[in-house]
Amino acid sequence: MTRTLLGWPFWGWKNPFDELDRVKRQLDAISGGRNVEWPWSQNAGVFPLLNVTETAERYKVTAELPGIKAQELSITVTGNTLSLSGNRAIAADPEASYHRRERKAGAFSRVITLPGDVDAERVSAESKNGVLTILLPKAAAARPRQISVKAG
Amino acid sequence: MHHDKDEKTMTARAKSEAQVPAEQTRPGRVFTPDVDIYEKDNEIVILADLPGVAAQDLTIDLKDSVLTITGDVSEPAENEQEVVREYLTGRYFRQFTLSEVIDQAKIEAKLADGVMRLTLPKVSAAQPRKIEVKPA
Repeated sequence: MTRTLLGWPFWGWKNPFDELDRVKRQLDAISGGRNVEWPWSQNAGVFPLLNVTETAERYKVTAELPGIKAQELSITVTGNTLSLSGNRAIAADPEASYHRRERKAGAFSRVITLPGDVDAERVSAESKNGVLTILLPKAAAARPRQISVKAG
Repeated sequence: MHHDKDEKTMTARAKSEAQVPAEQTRPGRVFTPDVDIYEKDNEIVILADLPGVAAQDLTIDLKDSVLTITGDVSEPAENEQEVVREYLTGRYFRQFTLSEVIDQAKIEAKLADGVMRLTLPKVSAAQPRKIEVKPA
Protein backbone atom coordinates (compact mmCIF):
# COMPACT_ATOMS: atom_id res chain seq x y z
CA MET A 1 0.00 0.00 0.00
CA THR A 2 2.79 2.38 0.94
CA ARG A 3 4.42 1.66 -2.37
CA THR A 4 1.28 2.60 -4.28
CA LEU A 5 0.87 5.82 -2.34
CA LEU A 6 4.47 6.85 -2.72
CA GLY A 7 4.67 5.78 -6.31
CA TRP A 8 1.49 7.44 -7.42
CA PRO A 9 2.37 11.11 -7.83
CA PHE A 10 5.58 10.31 -9.66
CA TRP A 11 4.67 7.80 -12.28
CA GLY A 12 3.76 9.45 -15.50
CA TRP A 13 6.02 12.43 -15.00
CA LYS A 14 8.20 11.39 -17.87
CA ASN A 15 5.40 12.20 -20.25
CA PRO A 16 2.87 14.74 -18.95
CA PHE A 17 0.39 13.74 -21.65
CA ASP A 18 0.16 10.23 -20.24
CA GLU A 19 -1.06 11.68 -16.98
CA LEU A 20 -3.62 13.89 -18.73
CA ASP A 21 -4.80 10.90 -20.70
CA ARG A 22 -5.17 8.89 -17.53
CA VAL A 23 -7.21 11.64 -15.85
CA LYS A 24 -9.40 11.90 -18.93
CA ARG A 25 -10.05 8.19 -18.87
CA GLN A 26 -10.90 8.34 -15.18
CA LEU A 27 -13.37 11.14 -15.79
CA ASP A 28 -14.89 9.16 -18.66
CA ALA A 29 -15.40 6.26 -16.32
CA ILE A 30 -16.94 8.39 -13.55
CA SER A 31 -19.31 10.08 -15.96
CA GLY A 32 -20.73 6.67 -16.78
CA GLY A 33 -19.69 6.76 -20.39
CA ARG A 34 -18.78 3.12 -20.25
CA ASN A 35 -19.67 0.27 -18.02
CA VAL A 36 -16.37 -0.96 -16.70
CA GLU A 37 -15.92 -3.03 -13.62
CA TRP A 38 -12.21 -2.64 -13.01
CA PRO A 39 -10.69 0.28 -11.15
CA TRP A 40 -8.60 2.45 -13.40
CA SER A 41 -4.82 2.39 -13.48
CA GLN A 42 -4.77 -0.52 -11.08
CA ASN A 43 -4.41 -4.17 -11.74
CA ALA A 44 -6.53 -6.96 -10.39
CA GLY A 45 -3.53 -8.58 -8.71
CA VAL A 46 -3.98 -11.80 -10.65
CA PHE A 47 -1.45 -13.08 -13.17
CA PRO A 48 -1.37 -12.41 -16.06
CA LEU A 49 -1.97 -8.69 -16.28
CA LEU A 50 -4.27 -7.89 -19.18
CA ASN A 51 -4.85 -4.96 -21.48
CA VAL A 52 -8.23 -4.75 -23.14
CA THR A 53 -9.13 -2.53 -26.05
CA GLU A 54 -12.19 -2.48 -28.27
CA THR A 55 -13.46 -1.37 -31.62
CA ALA A 56 -17.08 -1.40 -32.75
CA GLU A 57 -16.69 -5.01 -33.88
CA ARG A 58 -14.49 -6.70 -31.34
CA TYR A 59 -12.52 -6.73 -28.10
CA LYS A 60 -8.79 -7.32 -28.05
CA VAL A 61 -7.19 -8.79 -24.94
CA THR A 62 -3.42 -8.90 -24.68
CA ALA A 63 -1.16 -10.44 -22.04
CA GLU A 64 2.59 -10.68 -21.67
CA LEU A 65 3.41 -14.35 -21.31
CA PRO A 66 7.09 -14.78 -22.19
CA GLY A 67 8.25 -18.33 -22.70
CA ILE A 68 4.75 -19.78 -22.74
CA LYS A 69 3.77 -21.57 -25.89
CA ALA A 70 0.23 -21.42 -27.27
CA GLN A 71 -0.36 -25.12 -26.58
CA GLU A 72 0.44 -24.61 -22.89
CA LEU A 73 -2.46 -22.21 -22.55
CA SER A 74 -6.11 -22.90 -22.05
CA ILE A 75 -8.54 -20.22 -23.18
CA THR A 76 -12.29 -20.53 -22.74
CA VAL A 77 -15.07 -18.10 -23.53
CA THR A 78 -18.70 -18.15 -22.38
CA GLY A 79 -21.05 -15.21 -22.87
CA ASN A 80 -19.00 -12.24 -21.72
CA THR A 81 -16.49 -14.20 -19.63
CA LEU A 82 -12.99 -15.03 -20.75
CA SER A 83 -10.85 -17.41 -18.76
CA LEU A 84 -7.21 -17.98 -19.29
CA SER A 85 -5.07 -20.55 -17.53
CA GLY A 86 -1.77 -22.26 -17.97
CA ASN A 87 1.50 -23.15 -16.39
CA ARG A 88 4.91 -21.66 -16.82
CA ALA A 89 7.73 -24.08 -16.20
CA ILE A 90 11.33 -22.96 -15.97
CA ALA A 91 13.75 -25.84 -16.00
CA ALA A 92 16.73 -25.29 -13.75
CA ASP A 93 20.09 -26.53 -14.90
CA PRO A 94 21.38 -28.89 -12.20
CA GLU A 95 25.04 -28.13 -13.01
CA ALA A 96 24.62 -24.40 -12.84
CA SER A 97 25.19 -22.08 -9.93
CA TYR A 98 22.81 -19.15 -9.96
CA HIS A 99 23.70 -15.49 -9.65
CA ARG A 100 20.15 -14.26 -10.11
CA ARG A 101 16.75 -15.87 -10.29
CA GLU A 102 14.12 -13.27 -10.93
CA ARG A 103 11.97 -14.98 -13.55
CA LYS A 104 8.85 -16.50 -12.09
CA ALA A 105 7.29 -19.83 -12.82
CA GLY A 106 4.10 -21.54 -11.77
CA ALA A 107 0.48 -22.09 -12.60
CA PHE A 108 -1.91 -19.26 -13.33
CA SER A 109 -5.58 -18.85 -13.92
CA ARG A 110 -7.52 -15.70 -14.58
CA VAL A 111 -11.10 -14.83 -15.42
CA ILE A 112 -12.29 -11.48 -16.71
CA THR A 113 -15.72 -10.17 -17.51
CA LEU A 114 -15.93 -8.15 -20.69
CA PRO A 115 -18.34 -5.23 -20.97
CA GLY A 116 -20.49 -7.12 -23.50
CA ASP A 117 -21.18 -10.57 -24.91
CA VAL A 118 -18.84 -12.05 -27.47
CA ASP A 119 -19.31 -14.50 -30.30
CA ALA A 120 -17.52 -17.48 -28.75
CA GLU A 121 -17.38 -19.35 -32.06
CA ARG A 122 -15.23 -16.72 -33.73
CA VAL A 123 -12.72 -16.02 -30.96
CA SER A 124 -9.13 -16.30 -32.14
CA ALA A 125 -5.85 -16.25 -30.22
CA GLU A 126 -2.29 -15.75 -31.35
CA SER A 127 1.03 -15.70 -29.53
CA LYS A 128 3.90 -13.64 -30.88
CA ASN A 129 7.19 -12.73 -29.20
CA GLY A 130 5.76 -13.80 -25.86
CA VAL A 131 2.66 -11.61 -26.12
CA LEU A 132 -0.70 -13.33 -26.33
CA THR A 133 -3.41 -11.55 -28.31
CA ILE A 134 -7.00 -12.74 -28.14
CA LEU A 135 -9.52 -11.27 -30.55
CA LEU A 136 -13.13 -11.57 -29.45
CA PRO A 137 -15.74 -10.47 -31.97
CA LYS A 138 -18.72 -8.89 -30.26
CA ALA A 139 -22.02 -10.75 -30.34
CA ALA A 140 -24.49 -9.28 -32.81
CA ALA A 141 -26.70 -8.02 -30.00
CA ALA A 142 -23.80 -6.25 -28.28
CA ARG A 143 -22.58 -4.41 -31.37
CA PRO A 144 -23.52 -0.78 -31.82
CA ARG A 145 -26.02 -0.24 -34.60
CA GLN A 146 -26.30 2.76 -36.83
CA ILE A 147 -29.88 3.93 -37.03
CA SER A 148 -30.69 6.13 -39.96
CA VAL A 149 -33.34 8.77 -39.45
CA LYS A 150 -35.66 9.18 -42.39
CA ALA A 151 -36.62 12.63 -43.39
CA GLY A 152 -40.34 12.98 -42.73
CA MET B 1 15.00 -11.23 -2.78
CA HIS B 2 11.80 -13.19 -2.64
CA HIS B 3 12.23 -16.91 -2.64
CA ASP B 4 8.91 -17.67 -4.23
CA LYS B 5 10.35 -19.47 -7.21
CA ASP B 6 8.81 -22.73 -6.18
CA GLU B 7 5.41 -21.37 -5.29
CA LYS B 8 2.62 -23.07 -7.11
CA THR B 9 0.82 -20.05 -8.48
CA MET B 10 2.13 -16.97 -10.17
CA THR B 11 1.44 -13.53 -8.81
CA ALA B 12 0.81 -10.40 -10.82
CA ARG B 13 3.46 -7.73 -10.61
CA ALA B 14 3.72 -4.44 -12.38
CA LYS B 15 6.91 -4.04 -14.36
CA SER B 16 9.58 -2.03 -12.62
CA GLU B 17 10.72 1.11 -14.35
CA ALA B 18 14.44 1.27 -14.99
CA GLN B 19 16.85 3.92 -13.88
CA VAL B 20 18.53 4.75 -17.14
CA PRO B 21 22.01 6.27 -16.92
CA ALA B 22 21.64 8.41 -20.02
CA GLU B 23 18.61 10.40 -21.00
CA GLN B 24 16.55 8.81 -23.70
CA THR B 25 16.36 10.38 -27.11
CA ARG B 26 12.90 9.04 -27.69
CA PRO B 27 9.94 9.36 -25.36
CA GLY B 28 8.41 6.45 -23.54
CA ARG B 29 8.88 4.28 -20.51
CA VAL B 30 11.88 2.11 -19.79
CA PHE B 31 11.52 -1.12 -17.84
CA THR B 32 13.88 -3.53 -16.14
CA PRO B 33 13.39 -7.04 -17.48
CA ASP B 34 13.46 -10.02 -15.13
CA VAL B 35 16.56 -12.12 -15.59
CA ASP B 36 18.06 -15.41 -14.52
CA ILE B 37 21.82 -15.58 -14.55
CA TYR B 38 23.73 -18.75 -13.99
CA GLU B 39 27.25 -19.84 -14.36
CA LYS B 40 28.86 -23.08 -15.37
CA ASP B 41 32.52 -24.01 -15.59
CA ASN B 42 32.86 -22.77 -19.14
CA GLU B 43 30.06 -20.26 -19.61
CA ILE B 44 27.69 -17.70 -18.16
CA VAL B 45 24.06 -17.83 -19.30
CA ILE B 46 21.64 -14.93 -19.05
CA LEU B 47 17.93 -15.50 -19.58
CA ALA B 48 15.72 -12.44 -19.82
CA ASP B 49 11.96 -12.06 -20.18
CA LEU B 50 11.40 -9.56 -22.97
CA PRO B 51 7.78 -9.96 -24.02
CA GLY B 52 6.91 -8.08 -27.19
CA VAL B 53 10.48 -7.68 -28.39
CA ALA B 54 11.18 -8.96 -31.90
CA ALA B 55 14.67 -10.21 -32.79
CA GLN B 56 15.45 -7.14 -34.91
CA ASP B 57 14.57 -4.82 -32.00
CA LEU B 58 16.95 -6.44 -29.53
CA THR B 59 20.42 -4.97 -29.09
CA ILE B 60 23.12 -6.68 -27.07
CA ASP B 61 26.34 -4.82 -26.56
CA LEU B 62 29.46 -5.81 -24.67
CA LYS B 63 32.05 -3.12 -24.14
CA ASP B 64 34.70 -2.81 -21.45
CA SER B 65 33.09 -5.77 -19.63
CA VAL B 66 29.76 -3.90 -19.42
CA LEU B 67 26.96 -5.86 -21.02
CA THR B 68 24.00 -3.78 -22.19
CA ILE B 69 20.69 -5.30 -23.23
CA THR B 70 18.14 -3.04 -24.94
CA GLY B 71 14.86 -4.23 -26.37
CA ASP B 72 12.22 -2.11 -28.03
CA VAL B 73 8.56 -2.96 -28.11
CA SER B 74 6.82 -1.53 -31.12
CA GLU B 75 3.10 -1.35 -30.62
CA PRO B 76 1.15 -0.67 -33.77
CA ALA B 77 -0.73 2.59 -33.47
CA GLU B 78 -4.26 1.34 -33.73
CA ASN B 79 -7.41 3.30 -33.48
CA GLU B 80 -8.80 1.38 -30.57
CA GLN B 81 -10.74 2.40 -27.53
CA GLU B 82 -9.04 1.46 -24.29
CA VAL B 83 -11.12 -0.61 -21.89
CA VAL B 84 -8.57 -1.76 -19.32
CA ARG B 85 -4.88 -1.10 -19.06
CA GLU B 86 -3.08 -3.17 -16.47
CA TYR B 87 0.39 -3.23 -17.93
CA LEU B 88 2.44 -0.68 -19.80
CA THR B 89 4.84 -1.25 -22.63
CA GLY B 90 8.08 0.44 -23.51
CA ARG B 91 11.75 -0.20 -23.88
CA TYR B 92 13.58 -2.84 -21.84
CA PHE B 93 16.99 -1.87 -20.60
CA ARG B 94 19.50 -3.59 -18.35
CA GLN B 95 23.23 -3.45 -17.82
CA PHE B 96 25.57 -5.89 -16.15
CA THR B 97 29.22 -5.70 -15.31
CA LEU B 98 30.92 -8.97 -16.08
CA SER B 99 33.71 -9.93 -13.79
CA GLU B 100 34.84 -12.85 -15.92
CA VAL B 101 36.76 -12.64 -19.13
CA ILE B 102 34.36 -13.44 -21.95
CA ASP B 103 35.27 -14.84 -25.33
CA GLN B 104 33.50 -12.16 -27.34
CA ALA B 105 33.67 -14.02 -30.64
CA LYS B 106 31.68 -16.93 -29.26
CA ILE B 107 28.79 -15.04 -27.67
CA GLU B 108 25.49 -16.51 -28.73
CA ALA B 109 22.05 -14.96 -28.40
CA LYS B 110 18.69 -16.54 -29.05
CA LEU B 111 15.25 -15.01 -28.73
CA ALA B 112 12.19 -17.25 -28.66
CA ASP B 113 8.67 -16.47 -27.43
CA GLY B 114 9.87 -13.29 -25.75
CA VAL B 115 12.70 -14.96 -23.82
CA MET B 116 16.30 -14.09 -24.58
CA ARG B 117 19.00 -16.65 -23.97
CA LEU B 118 22.48 -15.22 -24.02
CA THR B 119 25.45 -17.56 -23.73
CA LEU B 120 28.74 -15.96 -22.78
CA PRO B 121 31.62 -18.44 -23.04
CA LYS B 122 34.52 -17.79 -20.70
CA VAL B 123 37.98 -17.62 -22.22
CA SER B 124 39.94 -20.72 -21.39
CA ALA B 125 42.27 -18.91 -18.98
CA ALA B 126 39.29 -17.97 -16.80
CA GLN B 127 37.95 -21.49 -16.60
CA PRO B 128 38.60 -23.25 -13.34
CA ARG B 129 41.26 -25.87 -13.54
CA LYS B 130 41.04 -29.00 -11.55
CA ILE B 131 44.17 -29.50 -9.54
CA GLU B 132 44.93 -33.03 -8.83
CA VAL B 133 46.57 -33.87 -5.59
CA LYS B 134 48.98 -36.67 -5.99
CA PRO B 135 49.51 -39.01 -3.14
CA ALA B 136 52.95 -38.58 -1.69
